[in-house]
Amino acid sequence: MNAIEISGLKKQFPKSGFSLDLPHLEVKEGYITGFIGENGAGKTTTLKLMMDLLFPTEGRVRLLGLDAHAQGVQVRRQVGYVGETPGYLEGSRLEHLMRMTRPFYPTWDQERFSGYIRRFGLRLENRYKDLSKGQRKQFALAMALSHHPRLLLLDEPTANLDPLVRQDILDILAEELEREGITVFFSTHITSDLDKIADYLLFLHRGRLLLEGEKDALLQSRRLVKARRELYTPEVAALLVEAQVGEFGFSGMTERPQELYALLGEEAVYETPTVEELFLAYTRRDREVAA
Amino acid sequence: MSEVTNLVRMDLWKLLSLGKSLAIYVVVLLVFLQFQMALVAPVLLLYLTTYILAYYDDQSKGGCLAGSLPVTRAQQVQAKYLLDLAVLAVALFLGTACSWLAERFGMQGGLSLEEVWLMFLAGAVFIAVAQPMLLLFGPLKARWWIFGIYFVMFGAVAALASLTAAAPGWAWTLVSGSFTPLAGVILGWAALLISYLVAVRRYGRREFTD
Repeated sequence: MNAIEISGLKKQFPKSGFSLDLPHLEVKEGYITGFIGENGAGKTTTLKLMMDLLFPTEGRVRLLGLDAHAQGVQVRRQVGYVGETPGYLEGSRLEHLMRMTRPFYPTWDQERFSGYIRRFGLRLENRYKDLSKGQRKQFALAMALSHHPRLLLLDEPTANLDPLVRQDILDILAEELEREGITVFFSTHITSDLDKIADYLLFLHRGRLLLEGEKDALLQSRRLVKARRELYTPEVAALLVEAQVGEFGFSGMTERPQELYALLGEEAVYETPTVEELFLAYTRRDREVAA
Repeated sequence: MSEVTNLVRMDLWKLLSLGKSLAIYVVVLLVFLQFQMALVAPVLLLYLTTYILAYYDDQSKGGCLAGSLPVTRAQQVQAKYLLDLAVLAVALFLGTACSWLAERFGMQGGLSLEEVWLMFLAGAVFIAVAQPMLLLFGPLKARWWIFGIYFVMFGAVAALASLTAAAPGWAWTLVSGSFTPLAGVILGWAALLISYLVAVRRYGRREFTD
């Protein structure tokens, strides 16, 4: 079953001129899917459309087999959402925030919540405004996970956090996946997070999906090629998604490594790309095409 | 209904969190509130639970939190109006109690028990205008409407007070000939009903872009 299904989705913002266009998107249940894109690519817009905080201009969004708009209440009961801004009243004590949110979820697990609070070293008598950025994210994550959601939607959960907190959050996501079979869909522009835990990747650029697929398949089927400048011929260029050509050499991403190897042989270096290199290559190509 | 009461409870928790900030407003209001202005007392009380709450909530992007909860937009609007009506009921009760005490101890200048309907009308009109504005446009844009209501209400009461030492009584005498308490109550409820229907319809289409 798919946890998320998007078909013919369009969202236009006439004032800014930005337009999101996702003709088709499926996210498999029980996996961690990374939603990567530069600032302003449309990641937050997509997540808000899933949460019914924004309404599509066209198309529809289904979460866990339910229509995100028409059956929004049933959907949100099964979804844990950590938005860019969680919306907690700054002056509230954490205990009050928990007490005001808890009644909406029949599956709320107080023991689980307390466990996360202890793990993060948070104190319920503290006010939300006194928490650091990392602690705010940790608290929002504890709130989102304490009602046993089937789907966790996270908007930049690791942005602006120190490496320790980031790793802790990633560990929790991996644990949740293992323990509860939860589906995690998280947007980010920190590609190293995706290298660590993502099963599937979605690349968004200027409101359009550039690339999608299983992370390992996407990375293993491509190679980052580096060679001397004089080897950069039109035949080689045709096999590259995008190339950076310098005075002495060039580097580029290829989807057809075997054909490129037939041309360049041992004269070139072939490396498995990282998520960041993959994202940069396809983003640059899209910019070149647009230009 | 349980979701609506949960939302009301949520707002009450928020009010509790705003304790110190609200206390400052209450002190300021008590200092400037004259007994002759008891007519608009519900409006002052409602200001705390509508505008001030919405203002602080908006600063924390509280709309996004409410929107991500498993409740409908209509339930969110219902909760706001329910809380407002509860606050209005408390204000009317306090107004009635104060009037009764004033009468019992022979104090002058308070509202008579019959004049409580004027307080209800003032409160209902305030809710009917302020709440949809707050829900649809947020407190920053809605403040001009709320200032407008204040301007009209306080202006009217100040004008009456300058003419007579017992403004509410004067107002009562002025309108009692052509305006019965029942008509005032019906007018108040009609304003609330229209306002609620507009708010439900429009808030259902509101998007959270921030």
